[in-house]
Amino acid sequence: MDQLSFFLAATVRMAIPLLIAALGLVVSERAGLMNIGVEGTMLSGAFAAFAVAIYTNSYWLGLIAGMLAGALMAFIFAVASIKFKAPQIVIGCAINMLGSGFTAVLFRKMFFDAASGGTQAKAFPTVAIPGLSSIPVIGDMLFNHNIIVYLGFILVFVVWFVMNRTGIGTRIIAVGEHPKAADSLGINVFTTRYAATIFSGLMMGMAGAYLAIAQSNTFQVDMTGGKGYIAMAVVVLGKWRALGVLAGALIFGGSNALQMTLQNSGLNIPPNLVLMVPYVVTVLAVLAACKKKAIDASAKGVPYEKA
Amino acid sequence: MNVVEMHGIYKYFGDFCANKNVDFTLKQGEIHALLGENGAGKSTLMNILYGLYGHDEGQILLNGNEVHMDSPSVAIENGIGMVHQHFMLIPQLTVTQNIFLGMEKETGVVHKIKDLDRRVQELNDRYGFNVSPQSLIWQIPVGVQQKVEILKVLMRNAKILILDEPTAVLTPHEVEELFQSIRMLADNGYSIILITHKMSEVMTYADRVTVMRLGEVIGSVNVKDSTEEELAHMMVGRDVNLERQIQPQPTGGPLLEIKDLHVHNDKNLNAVNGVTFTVHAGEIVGIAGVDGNGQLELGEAIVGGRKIESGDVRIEGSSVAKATIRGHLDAGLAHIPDDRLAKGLVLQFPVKQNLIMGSQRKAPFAHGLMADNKAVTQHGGKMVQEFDIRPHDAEYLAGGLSGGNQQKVILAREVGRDPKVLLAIQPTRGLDIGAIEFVRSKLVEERSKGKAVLLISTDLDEIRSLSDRILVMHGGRFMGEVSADVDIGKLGLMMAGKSEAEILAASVGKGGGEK
Amino acid sequence: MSEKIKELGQAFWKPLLAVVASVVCSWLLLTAFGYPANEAFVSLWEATFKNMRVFGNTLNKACPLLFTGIAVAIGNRGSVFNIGAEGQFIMGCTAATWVGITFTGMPGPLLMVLMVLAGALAGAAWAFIPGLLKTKFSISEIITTIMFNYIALQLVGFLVRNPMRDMSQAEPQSYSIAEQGFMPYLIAKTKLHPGFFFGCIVAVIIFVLLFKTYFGYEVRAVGYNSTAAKYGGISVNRTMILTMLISGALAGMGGAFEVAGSAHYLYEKISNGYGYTAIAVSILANNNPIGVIFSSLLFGFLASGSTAMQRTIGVSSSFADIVQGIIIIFVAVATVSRVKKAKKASKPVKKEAKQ
Repeated sequence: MDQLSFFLAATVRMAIPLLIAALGLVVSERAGLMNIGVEGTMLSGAFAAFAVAIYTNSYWLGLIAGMLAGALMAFIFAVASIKFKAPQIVIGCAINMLGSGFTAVLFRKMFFDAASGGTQAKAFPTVAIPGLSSIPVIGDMLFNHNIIVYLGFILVFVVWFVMNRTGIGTRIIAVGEHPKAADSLGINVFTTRYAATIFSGLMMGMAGAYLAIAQSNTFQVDMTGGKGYIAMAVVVLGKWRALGVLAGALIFGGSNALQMTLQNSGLNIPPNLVLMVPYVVTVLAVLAACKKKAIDASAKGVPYEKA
Repeated sequence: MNVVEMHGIYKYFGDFCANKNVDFTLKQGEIHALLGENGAGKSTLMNILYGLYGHDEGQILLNGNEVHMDSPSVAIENGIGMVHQHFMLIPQLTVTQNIFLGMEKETGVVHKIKDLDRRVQELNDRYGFNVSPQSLIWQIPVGVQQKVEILKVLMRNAKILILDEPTAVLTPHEVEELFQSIRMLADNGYSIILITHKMSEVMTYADRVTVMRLGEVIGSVNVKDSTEEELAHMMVGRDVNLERQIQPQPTGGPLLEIKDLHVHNDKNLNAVNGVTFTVHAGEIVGIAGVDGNGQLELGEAIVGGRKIESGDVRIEGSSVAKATIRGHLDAGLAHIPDDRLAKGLVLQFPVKQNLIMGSQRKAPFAHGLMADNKAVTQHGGKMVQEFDIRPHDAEYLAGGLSGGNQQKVILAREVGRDPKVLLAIQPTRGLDIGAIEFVRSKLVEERSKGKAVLLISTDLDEIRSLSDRILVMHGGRFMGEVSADVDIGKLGLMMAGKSEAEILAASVGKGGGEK
Repeated sequence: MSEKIKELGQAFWKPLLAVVASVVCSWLLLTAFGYPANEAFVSLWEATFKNMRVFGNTLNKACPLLFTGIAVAIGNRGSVFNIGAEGQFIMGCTAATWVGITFTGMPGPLLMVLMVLAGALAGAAWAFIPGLLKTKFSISEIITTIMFNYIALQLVGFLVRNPMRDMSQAEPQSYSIAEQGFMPYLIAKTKLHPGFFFGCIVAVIIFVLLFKTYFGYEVRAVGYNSTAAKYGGISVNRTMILTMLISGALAGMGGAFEVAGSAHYLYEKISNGYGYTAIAVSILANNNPIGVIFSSLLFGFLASGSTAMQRTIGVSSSFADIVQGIIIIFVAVATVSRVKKAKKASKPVKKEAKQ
């Protein structure tokens, strides 16, 4: 029972950064942008959140800083790919390098001692929801987490609602699917795409902040370890829908939690093999998801040009 | 009263002048046709009025006041709505979502879906449209999509409607229905501009007509004061030659045989439902039909680009039903695809390299693995001269050529392979008159050389002037075979899905009643 | 002839400008971070070009970038975005090491050849699966190749800790390959191995393959417009898989040269992100194999220089990542496809971007 409860709670904890980043990607990809710079954007968010949380001693300010750093990276991506129409995959690669480089350089400069494990930030505390958190098994899984976890679940609903029940959502889908049609109705394709990209940057930044000041309390160089790319896989698996992304993130969270459970299990499995699990699961999951027809934006990755 | 006045409009694309000193006026409550050949500048002019293109010179007055049409939103605010030839609908959204797209000022950011559906339904009822608000666009037929486009415009309180070639994808029956609705709108005070190159539509449905040619306005007249001949003369600047471009000639043996062919479309639904026909050496067989009735899938299946579910395709007697595209090419098939940019050319390649696509492994263009650049260059130089591909330089990138010259590159490549069978799908769509004539004359030339030519086109004039025999396709089946001098009304009925036998039975029945 | 020279100049000035701009940016950034920027550049120079010994190191650092760079370049030409050069390189290292520690009785030259072949084979195999998934199931190769990078990384981690581990060493690493399999140093007192020169030959071969054979024609046609290529009778899937295999083999070969030339044994961080840097290398060279020779030199210079900078002025060697990122963005923005622009221009445009 304890094992199960640990596994389920860990599943949620590991799913949240993927979920939040993937929700951001749902919006930007449906607006027609292919940003593979998730990894670097998340790293920037993680570092900014960590640094600001240390200096201000406030995890809330840390979170805001992380989101803004994510937005800044997304803005660079947006300018290069929307305004200058540079190839988006190439720019995404560059964003990853910038994110990795800047955070490593600044981390060494600002927290050289921390490299040996010295500096720790004040992280988001666990907020158990009174009553609900003591339900066996699902209490720990759903109601005994830090605030960003709850926020993540709320964001699923928010993104679903915006995409399906508001004019903002139809605008986003329109510029991703048929930008010329959107333009013909007076919708500004560029502004919409900028906004969607920056929103996704805010979310990726939040996901990064979660890694640094909620899931742990410190920053490590390249601490995302491929989570940004896995978030992209989550979006494919979730078929570009908020609820699907939730399910996809939980699958990957589960595979991560499985890996942790295996490590704690006392079974003598080489850790490197266990660490492979999430990546293998990603490949298998994407393979399983490819069978059905998805709703990926038709104009994805294609810069819009006015006549 | 003039609701729209455009004075002295000029529009350049690079060095090309698409509109030259154009004047245009629209009166309230009229259906005003804008008539001209492809490339005459009609769409450009209307895109300027709608704010999609900026103009280089000239003035636009709406109800007597000058307005700067910087973007479609200005046009929308001023009560102008446009239904584009290529529908501007988002396939993944519902009818209602499409209609209210970008209208948050009116709907609020949060959509009250039931409320909006009801408003669509009301408008539906008022003008006799029958569109289900909750359907997704990709699930409904093109005729209905057309209505969604009009509803979209009406919902934006447009008083001026621009319809760009609205009948291109409709059956004659749908056309009739459409114009009933349009007349009703005009009677209710809406002013309508109808962009078209179809004379019959102008004569039957329009009040006034402005004729354009090569970017200039030739004149504006009341339809009832004019004749078809006069308008046709204004439109093409010479007497229309709708006469047949081919002389009868004896045909040879069968070169292309299609037997009981079944093919699916992209949605995996039946698109071609068992068609059988043969094209002989020295004849052009035309396949007529409204867009989306399986012709495209038929064409793709014949080239080998689409999986054949059952049935057979034979080129000069040998089956290629299971062959790759290369197998088809090697068997002697040449192919002018419907979409030259997507399927026909590599825009980033120079013309000479596009000219060898499909032959790149064969001598003289390759010896073993190595390509022979000298031979490629030589061949390119020869072809640009022979087919008058401008500029006469095979080093130019295909992407930098005009549409007509791009099509000539494809034509040169395909014909240059000396094929047995030539399949041409929509070979003149979107080309200027000169290029159209060039392409058509080449098809005829291939026929005289004893090739089998299969022409798939939605352009009835093209089909009628070039074909020895015409097959009419509807819903993935042939409605019958007719000769080129067929009565247009009968052709229309067949395109709408009446088989030859049904038509015959109906006319016999009618004839019997009169007696 | 003068036209050719003009074209060549045009192909060079944009990347050159991007490099200059990124040098300026680096200087500004270093200053802003509070590092002595001038000193940094001096140490960069001293660690890379000052004498034959350090220059040999620079060439050695450029070698893996040259191979992976060509790998990415041919992939990009055929529109298969091989972000998996990293994993393929690592698998190449692994296979070469395995050969080197298994066939210890073999004469040197034969062993070297066998190691390089094994590396190429392993790299190709590692690229084959994403290639297959892309063509058979249309799964984006971006996600799968990256996942395969992480899997390769963990696989090496497992191998050097368990079956291949040399217990006499403190850090987890494999046994050394047989000594006769060490590639010779070309110049006395340097550790310069012949990898970079072989890489140059490979670059020329791949250039010829891409631009002078019908196969290269097909690869590029598929890369530019796969639909048109399909209707031109080219088997798109087959071409893409072949492109992917060649790309993987090149990256794996790079791994073999790294093992036989420099490292001589396998360890977890043997790649140091070469496969990712390769993307920058290839983009800067406009995906031209010959250009990759020069850009790999530049990035090799940056790689050995950045380690030196960390030693002398304390800036993290990851500063190289920032410079790479900046260069990529500058180059990508500066060379946005000329054809796209041309469509709007009235005058036709000449020449495919090759040089």
